[in-house]
Amino acid sequence: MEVNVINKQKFLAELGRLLTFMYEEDRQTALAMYSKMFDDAAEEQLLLQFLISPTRQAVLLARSYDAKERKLQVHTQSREEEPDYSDYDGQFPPFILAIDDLQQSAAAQGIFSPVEETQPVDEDQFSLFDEPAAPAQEDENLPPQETLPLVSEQPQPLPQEAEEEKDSVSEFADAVDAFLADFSIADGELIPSHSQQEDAGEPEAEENEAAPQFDDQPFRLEELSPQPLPQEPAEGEAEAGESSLSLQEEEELSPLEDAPAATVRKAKVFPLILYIIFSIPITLLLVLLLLVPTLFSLSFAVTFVSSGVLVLTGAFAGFSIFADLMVILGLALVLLAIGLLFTWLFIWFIGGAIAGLIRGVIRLGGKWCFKEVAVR
Amino acid sequence: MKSGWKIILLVVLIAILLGAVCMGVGMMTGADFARIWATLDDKYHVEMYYQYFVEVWSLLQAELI
Repeated sequence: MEVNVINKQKFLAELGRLLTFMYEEDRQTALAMYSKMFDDAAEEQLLLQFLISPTRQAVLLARSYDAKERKLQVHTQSREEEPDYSDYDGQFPPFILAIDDLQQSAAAQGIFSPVEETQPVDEDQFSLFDEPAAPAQEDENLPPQETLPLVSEQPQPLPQEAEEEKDSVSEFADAVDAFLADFSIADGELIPSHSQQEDAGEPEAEENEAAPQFDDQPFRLEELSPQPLPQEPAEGEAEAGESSLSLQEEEELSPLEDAPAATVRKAKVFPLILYIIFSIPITLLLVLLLLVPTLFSLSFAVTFVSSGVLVLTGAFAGFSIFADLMVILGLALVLLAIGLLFTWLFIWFIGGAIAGLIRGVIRLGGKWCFKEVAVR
Repeated sequence: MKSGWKIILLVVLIAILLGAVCMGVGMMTGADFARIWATLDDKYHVEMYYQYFVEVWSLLQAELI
């Protein structure tokens, strides 16, 4: 049993370190959900084999985590004590849904305890993040047995079901709060709170007994880290197979961990020089070619507009017959319209065609001659 | 640019349509192109400028070719 506890603690600690790309609220929520999975598991080893490794779970979360979209969401919730995930475009964030899918897959494989196997995992379990009054109203239409197993692991007596139905959400929220209160993540590591650090002087035997109750007695990362050598012979073969598997997979997935890291554009020098040498004369030639129709458009525009103005002014100067005046006014309108068309054509050649050509050449150079380099 | 094209083409189309209507009305009410040309020539000396450009063009042709 001690081996299981240590594996669970190691798993969560490693996962906490790997989830540094997430916002603090999201990371703590994800860790709380994984901790709940461990608590609900019938056998911890089965769950660990199902989850395979913390790195794999971190990659899974990284693929479903959009930091840009979460940024605004987290900032709007920064003044709230608990995050409200129900406002995320009408549904939960993708990383929570990913963990939920994981829980459902684990439940389908019979990893969780039998009480929870009989009950399907639905989205109501996320209602703990909402206000307690809202989910209680939604659950009133449901039978009490659907919500109880998700929250409380022990069977409750029938007369208390009504109260438990109302308090089910708050109990689960209390469990998450207890986990979040016991731990704080700083510098990518899980660190127990100050109140728990005071209990460090207790004997280890007492800790090992209380360790399975993860929500009540948090593990101490400082105690685990300086004792790697004494633990290895004690754990023996039980951890050997799993650790070798997880290490091998971490090596394979290590490039994927860099996916959310920042990238920097780096120039490919030789292609860039070649591109500059060839692109500048070609661009100048194309610009000169485009200048020909541009100047023609300008000359036609000036001609037609000036002709239209002259005809229009002449209409009011020397014509006394109404029929001739109408013809002259119509001719002036047609000339001015054609002049306007050529004027717009000139503007389009200057601002659209030539400027677009130069922008396209620069963009093509940036695409061909620069590469994205990941920076940790 | 796309909206600019739409607006310009719409204005040009409307202006040409109005001009055509005006010219049609003028033609139907008895306009005479010879009289119009004579009036414009008296005001802007169109015939004189036309003859001047023809002479310059023929001179350039004789020099260059």
